[in-house]
Amino acid sequence: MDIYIPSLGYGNIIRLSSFFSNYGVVSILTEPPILRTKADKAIIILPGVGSFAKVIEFYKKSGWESFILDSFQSRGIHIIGICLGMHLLGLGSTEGGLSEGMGILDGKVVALSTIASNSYPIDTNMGWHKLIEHKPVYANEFCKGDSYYFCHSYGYQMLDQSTVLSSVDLGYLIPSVIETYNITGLQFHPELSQMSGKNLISSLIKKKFNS
Amino acid sequence: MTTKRIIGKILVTDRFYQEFGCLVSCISCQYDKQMPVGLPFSQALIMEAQVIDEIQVIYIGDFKRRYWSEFLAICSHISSSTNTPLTIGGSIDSYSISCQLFESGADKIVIGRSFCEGQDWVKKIISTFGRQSLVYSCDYKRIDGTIALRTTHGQWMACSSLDKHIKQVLDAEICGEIILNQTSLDGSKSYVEERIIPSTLHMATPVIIGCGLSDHMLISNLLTKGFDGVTLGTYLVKSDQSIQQIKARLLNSGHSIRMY
Repeated sequence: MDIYIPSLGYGNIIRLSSFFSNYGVVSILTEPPILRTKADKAIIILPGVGSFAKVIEFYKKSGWESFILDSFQSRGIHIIGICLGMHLLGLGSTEGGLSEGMGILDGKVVALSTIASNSYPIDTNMGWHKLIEHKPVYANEFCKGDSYYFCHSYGYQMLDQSTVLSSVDLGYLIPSVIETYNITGLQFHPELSQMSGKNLISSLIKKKFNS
Repeated sequence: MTTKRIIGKILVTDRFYQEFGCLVSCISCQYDKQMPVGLPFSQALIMEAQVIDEIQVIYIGDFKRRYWSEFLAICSHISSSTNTPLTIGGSIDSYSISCQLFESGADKIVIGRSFCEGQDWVKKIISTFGRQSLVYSCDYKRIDGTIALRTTHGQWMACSSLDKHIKQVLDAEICGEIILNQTSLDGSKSYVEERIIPSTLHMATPVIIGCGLSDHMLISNLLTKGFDGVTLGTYLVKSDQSIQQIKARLLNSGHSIRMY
């Protein structure tokens, strides 16, 4: 399995590359790859590093956005967006100023403080949560009841609920796992979620690649 | 709802470099009195094996950063070998130092007093890495009856109201989390001056408390009052209980705690 991670040139990429090296050969690239293998033998991981406005600018300039859009339209290489990486796939975000996203997921990303309830105000969600499943999340009995690590100040207001596999309860529901065709979005960080994260990614890869 | 977090703190010092030939972890009181306890990497692995919720690594070596590259290598090693959230801090006073820490595996960085001085480099960190990647460490102690806050490079400045100070930080929306560090204590004496606990708990930004926590009842009371978690350093070293046992007791006391 070839695993490609876009490199911003800054931030913590050590953890993600180390985590995914358990599942294949990891390449960290500033520009999109020329695929050496069939699309069903590769994954793109969009890391949850940085702030939306700056990172989407990088994706647009570097050619990564076009590559990801082509992959989605052709139902090609599987893409996993983690935290900010998932936000980039949406219509846009207000983080760091209003910016357009890739438009793959039919939802907008907004500050948690703008959608928080009065009874449970929140502007940063930091910590461990269990998932509220709407549909089975990579059905694996080992994942049932597991907690995952979240660290974010922005989240999706999803318009298309059919893509939401699970949510997290912050006093209101925020999508935590999203899936559409060859795209998976995770609001939490599997690479920081100890055994729960490993089990979930193993199940995901097994399901998607039957390996 | 989110679970309460038990955060393991590892202090890394260069004070024993001549003796051991490397940076070691230590337990400390007010960052002055130090006792070596092991290697930071080994401690991090043990913490993860015992299902710690986060690991915090703090550099308390000299400000000249003589062994900085070795510290960064330790952080990289921990980051690439564990799957636990890693927060790194200690004498961060510029954007470039912050970037070095992120590139060495920090998921979040802890910044002290310079955070509140409106530094441009702090704003640059937020715009580049996002607000959730910044933790403000509010180090305080009582000097001659007055609360004082630790300033850049270890000076102390009187603070008329800790409560007001925390409110100002929260209102400015410039960090993802606040850690209150009562630095005149360590985990060998369990005590927190309750009257200075800010009324800002249960607010939108998580607030963690650290230093001076070595008693189950005290930790349980602080979590009940609304703190989102506790950092434990000396207590984890001196206690005969494992992290899982500490968590199990808190779970039995009615707190929402992650056990696996």
